[in-house]
Amino acid sequence: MKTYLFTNERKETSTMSDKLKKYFEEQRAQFDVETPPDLWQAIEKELPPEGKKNKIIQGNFGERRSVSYLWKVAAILLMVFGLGFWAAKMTTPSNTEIAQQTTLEQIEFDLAKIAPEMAETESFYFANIASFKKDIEQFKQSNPEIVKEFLAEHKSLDKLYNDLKLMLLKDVDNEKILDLMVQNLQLRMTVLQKQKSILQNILKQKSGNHEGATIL
Amino acid sequence: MSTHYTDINHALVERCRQNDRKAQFELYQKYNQAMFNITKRMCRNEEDAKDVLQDAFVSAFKNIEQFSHKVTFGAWLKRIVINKCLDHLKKRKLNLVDIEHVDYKISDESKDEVFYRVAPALIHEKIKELPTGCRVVFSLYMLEGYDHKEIAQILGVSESTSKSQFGRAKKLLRQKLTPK
Repeated sequence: MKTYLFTNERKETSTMSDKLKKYFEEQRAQFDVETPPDLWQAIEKELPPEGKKNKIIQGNFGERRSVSYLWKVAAILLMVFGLGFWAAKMTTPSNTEIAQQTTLEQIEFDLAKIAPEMAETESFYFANIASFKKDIEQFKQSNPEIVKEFLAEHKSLDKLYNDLKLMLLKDVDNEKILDLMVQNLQLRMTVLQKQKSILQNILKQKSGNHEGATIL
Repeated sequence: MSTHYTDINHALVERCRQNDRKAQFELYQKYNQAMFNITKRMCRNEEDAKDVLQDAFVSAFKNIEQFSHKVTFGAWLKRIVINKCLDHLKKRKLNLVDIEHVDYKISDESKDEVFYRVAPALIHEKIKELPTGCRVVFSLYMLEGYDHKEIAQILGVSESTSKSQFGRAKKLLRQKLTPK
């Protein structure tokens, strides 16, 4: 069993002319004579709990990439809706104007009236988002620039959300708008979670953990 | 060079990316013995070999995102194991520099005869008795599929140092394996 595990990686080098090396390679499995200890429990202890995906920033890349991916999605959504909004404006100018004049409080009030479920969903997410933002702000001392950058990144999603809301007020039964609003809220949560874990990992790496584990 | 290996572990690795405990355990079981023998030969001491191996498995599972199927999982894991061994030895000040630069004749095949006569298990035992520098070089070259150029790279020494360490290891092993 042991030998075939490695057969793929054996390279044909000039040293194959080295008779002894060739012999060792043929006998490779015979060299692994020692019975290994059972390390599984110790290993398992050090792994992230099951059900939770690995979130490790190795030189900041893996994680960052996925966040920027989310931002691409957000940007595309924003563009699509920007266009949709513009198109709506072109066709029904008067309505849109009225909607734009409506104050935010008014919108909030109207939303609770026309789409009570959505208003409930919104307040649930808003509470969560606010608490995540608070968590992130706690890293302000250690990583002021990253925190600033992270929070600024939410502005476009906020704006997109408000645009969606305005559209909903004109077109209450439009389920697509409702879906997109919920998606927007979820996306914000995901982004915040990622940002938080990035900051936590940075902190973890800073404090101790200077082992310099090399992975080539 | 776009050799694409079909890794027998592909499905397991994909499950490991989801932090699937069963898949991780399967891979652990599959490679535990082979990897332990590597760490044992490299680090020699039982406790160190265990620690290094544990560290390597944890690191592999935590960083599985970085594994790209360009090589087999076994090869990737082995690379991590060997790097962890070297990290460990470097902490213990693995000394490769102060060796006598004697010209060991690697091509002297007639003297190698003893290696064919004794059991590999015995050679394994004797490898562990070698001084660190030449033990590492010998293991990497003869058992882990590295050539001198690669060994020189990962150890940060010259190719000729790697070759002379290898020659030294062979000479010492011959002595150890020849009945007095």
